[in-house]
Amino acid sequence: MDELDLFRNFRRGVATPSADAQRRASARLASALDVVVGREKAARLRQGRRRWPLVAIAVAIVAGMALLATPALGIGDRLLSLIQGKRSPLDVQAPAWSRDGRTIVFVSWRDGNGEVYAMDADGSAPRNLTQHPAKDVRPAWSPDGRSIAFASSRDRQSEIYVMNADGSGKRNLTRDRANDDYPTWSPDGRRIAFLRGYPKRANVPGLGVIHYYDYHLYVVNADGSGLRRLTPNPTWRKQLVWSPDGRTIYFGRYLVSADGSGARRLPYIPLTAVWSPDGRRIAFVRGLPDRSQVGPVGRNHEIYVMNADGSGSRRLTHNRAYDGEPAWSPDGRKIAFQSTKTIGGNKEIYVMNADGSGKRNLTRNPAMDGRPSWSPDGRRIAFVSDRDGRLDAHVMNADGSGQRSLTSQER
Amino acid sequence: VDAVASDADYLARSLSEPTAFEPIFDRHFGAVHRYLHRRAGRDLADELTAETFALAFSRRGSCRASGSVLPWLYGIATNLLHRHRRAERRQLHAYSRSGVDRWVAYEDEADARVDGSSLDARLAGALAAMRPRERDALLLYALADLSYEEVALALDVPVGTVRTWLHRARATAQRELAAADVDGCLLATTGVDLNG
Repeated sequence: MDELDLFRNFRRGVATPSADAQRRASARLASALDVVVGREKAARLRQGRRRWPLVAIAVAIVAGMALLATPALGIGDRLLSLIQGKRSPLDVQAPAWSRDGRTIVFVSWRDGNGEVYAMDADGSAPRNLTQHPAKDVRPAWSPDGRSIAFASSRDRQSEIYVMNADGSGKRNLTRDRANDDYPTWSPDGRRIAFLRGYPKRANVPGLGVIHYYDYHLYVVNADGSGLRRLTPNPTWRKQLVWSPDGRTIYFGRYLVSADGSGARRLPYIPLTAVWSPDGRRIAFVRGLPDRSQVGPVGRNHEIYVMNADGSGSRRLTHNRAYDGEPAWSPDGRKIAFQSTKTIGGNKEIYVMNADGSGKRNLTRNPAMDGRPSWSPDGRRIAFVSDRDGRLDAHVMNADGSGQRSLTSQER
Repeated sequence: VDAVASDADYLARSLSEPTAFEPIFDRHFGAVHRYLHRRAGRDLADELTAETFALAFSRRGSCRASGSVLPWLYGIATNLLHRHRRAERRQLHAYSRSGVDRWVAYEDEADARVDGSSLDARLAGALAAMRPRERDALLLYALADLSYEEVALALDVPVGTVRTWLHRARATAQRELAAADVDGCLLATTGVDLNG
């Protein structure tokens, strides 16, 4: 017998790692991921999320792409094949449905430089709206469906452009040398908020030097007039959401008055923020320091609600899981969310009353179930699940009964 | 669909999409933790395993693995252990002298007393006598069950160097275990025939 093989039994009796050790390590990795992903993830705006259920399919497509899965989604197949060639899934935003539901715009990287495409909602007639060797990304429908804002690098640095829905009449709204990105229409369609980025670098312990942008929030009229900066201080977060009444813009850690009259700095940085349907409250996700964690920067994500003016914040979830993706029911009485005990762990969809009471696990499934989205009548919830072996859009009644795939019957 | 993706696929993807690193954690947390536990005890293993994955994530662009990234992860874990080299050596010495292993919490107390603990104590003595890199190579081979090539990948040295280190480790083990045999008592109590 080789002496070396004797050592195979050395301390053979060690215990399997505790769940707690795994949770702590996963939290540590999550915090490292947060630093890198957080800035990107915040870009996933709420645009079009209420246009159910088609948007859930779109979300599934993007989620599927993120895992390089090949979800058999009918029109999704088509969309996916069109999108292929992308450089980074993070650069691909969720395809956006026009208000009349007849057209989808999306970004394709098939020619390597990012183009805004449109196609009919049945997947037919894809057309390249931008047709330019520079990068054209982040299309955003105007509320009336007649125009599309997007970010283009055709003038070297990124600028905000607007074009007609058929791709004609492109015009640059921000002629300057700064990097302008993330155009977002006001609910009345008269203005476009966007972010102006300034390159920065920082040395993050454990990660080395990272490069990022500091962003200021700007707003411009849809005709290019009235450009102005709304924020006193920049932030590296990219989240940008108009309130339903158009008076406030949530940006990074600020609630900014859209008329430029001021900004209220929140005492913490929400990871996501979602206005209630009546616009009076905001559900948001906050990362709390996790003291049980080994390392300095553990985060335990919890869901909160605050008033639309930033006051009266209240924690709704109390556990050691990662709770996120809050979605208001259309009547504003309930909030659906996803929860997972470990990063990359098994996500489940829960629903609770808007005061945090009555939490219930709706999915109870060994598969991943996440990204809940309510139907307009509030009776059903669409979600993304990999229970059939691929990420796909599913639907269930709001009480969790009647769960089924949204897409398998549509083929 | 996702189940067939290799570590290297996830790693490559995580460059543009950082969350793709998560499956790597899920796959290999247990193995890395067990390795560190056997070398450094539970408390340190908890800490170092977390650090291994955080570090692996930040260095994911420099991994050259084409299949499993486990050898690479073991390499990071082994390098992290270097800060605790002296403590490991002290502990191995103490273990070999007392026959009591303070660093490992056994699932079953009876295991600790009955299951070859005195052989383990002699192995601890042999490990303590080795040079650090020889000990690393040996334990990556024996505990982590890596091939010579994988040990070379983990420690970032040519495979010939691994052969040399393992050759020396073997010689040290022979010498130290034989010395323990001369004591006689340990062999008598365990009944393990080292020449068999």
